[in-house]
Amino acid sequence: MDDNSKKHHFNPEHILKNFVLEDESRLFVFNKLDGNAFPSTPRDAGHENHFNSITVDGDRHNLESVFQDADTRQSVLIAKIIQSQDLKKLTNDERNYLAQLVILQMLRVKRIRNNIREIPKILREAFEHMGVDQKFAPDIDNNEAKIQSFEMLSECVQYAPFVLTKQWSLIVAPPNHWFWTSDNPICIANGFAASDSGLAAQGSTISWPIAKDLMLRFSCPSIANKVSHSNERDADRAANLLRSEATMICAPAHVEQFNLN
Amino acid sequence: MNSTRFVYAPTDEFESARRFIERHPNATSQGAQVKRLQLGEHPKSIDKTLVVNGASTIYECRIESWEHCGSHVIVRVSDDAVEELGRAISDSPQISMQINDDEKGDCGIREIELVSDEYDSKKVTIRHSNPALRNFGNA
Repeated sequence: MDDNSKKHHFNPEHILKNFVLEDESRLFVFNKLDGNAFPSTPRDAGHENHFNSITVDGDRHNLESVFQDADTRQSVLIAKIIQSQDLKKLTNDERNYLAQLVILQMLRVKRIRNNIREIPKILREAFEHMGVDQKFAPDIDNNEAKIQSFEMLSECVQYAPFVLTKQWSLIVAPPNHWFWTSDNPICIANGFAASDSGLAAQGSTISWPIAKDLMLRFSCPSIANKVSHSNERDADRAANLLRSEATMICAPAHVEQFNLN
Repeated sequence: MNSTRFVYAPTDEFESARRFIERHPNATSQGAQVKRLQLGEHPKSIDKTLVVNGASTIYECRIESWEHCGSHVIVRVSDDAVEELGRAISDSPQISMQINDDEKGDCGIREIELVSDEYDSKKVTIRHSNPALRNFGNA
């Protein structure tokens, strides 16, 4: 990896290539802040200049290389899934590693850094209520948030079991309908109204579009259990959980046509 | 609209995204996904409901009435929730329960057992499965 690299992808280029139509070299970017769309390429989308560079004592350090090995192995693994369209073909080692990659992808995005920067503000609100001096929750600048997000990367192994214990499936888009991806490509949603979208929460389902026509889905076993424990009326409702919220986030239309493998 | 700012797609057909943003302007927020809640406050606003995290799945029952009696809670569910309550009781050992009630305030207990009422299928007593904790509230 070139230490002078500047374009640091938070959604890897090899994944974005899977969102390009055949005989095309470009994909399209939608900016939800102004509603505009424009053409781009996998190289130029999904990145920010120096996104993975940190500054320590005035010196800039390029940490993009941290992702090099993961991105290389991920590209091989994702290619295997796309080619076989069968998760049963994965070895145990590959499944373990893919689970870690899910967590890695969750942690390498801007949203995580925004969350980290938001925490002192929330603490100050709480301190204000408690009469505690707000100086104990100083602001976190962008560089510090980057450093903390890199420290969190070591937790990939620790959190991988929460992915491994879910039910894995591949969702295939119907002909001529495409999945979208984003600068925060891993979606966690919970179809149970009374539950939350924490990784370990009962009912929480992870969706990860890996190509324009293919999405990895990791469903909480409690959803299938709900179907098997329910009467006919509730079973319909529960079955809808399997194809509901996360699919809607990633796919613009024809949700009902998606097939579970 | 899980994105922070940018969505990537094979075509430039983003009309459904624009419509979604029109209906949900908050979807354009780049802010964090964390917020402060009061102790015991549920992140989602839902009707007066008993939620049981059973051994294998979640059960949601609309509540008619409930009361806190020392270390246990007595709940009466609505008519349409009797079946769901029966399934929740069967799915043991239960992990936890929450009562979401905007009027009286929320309530939650971990490590629970559900005891059905012999004469009233709408009624359930929820208490700690651990006898030491069960007696704690009465001390």
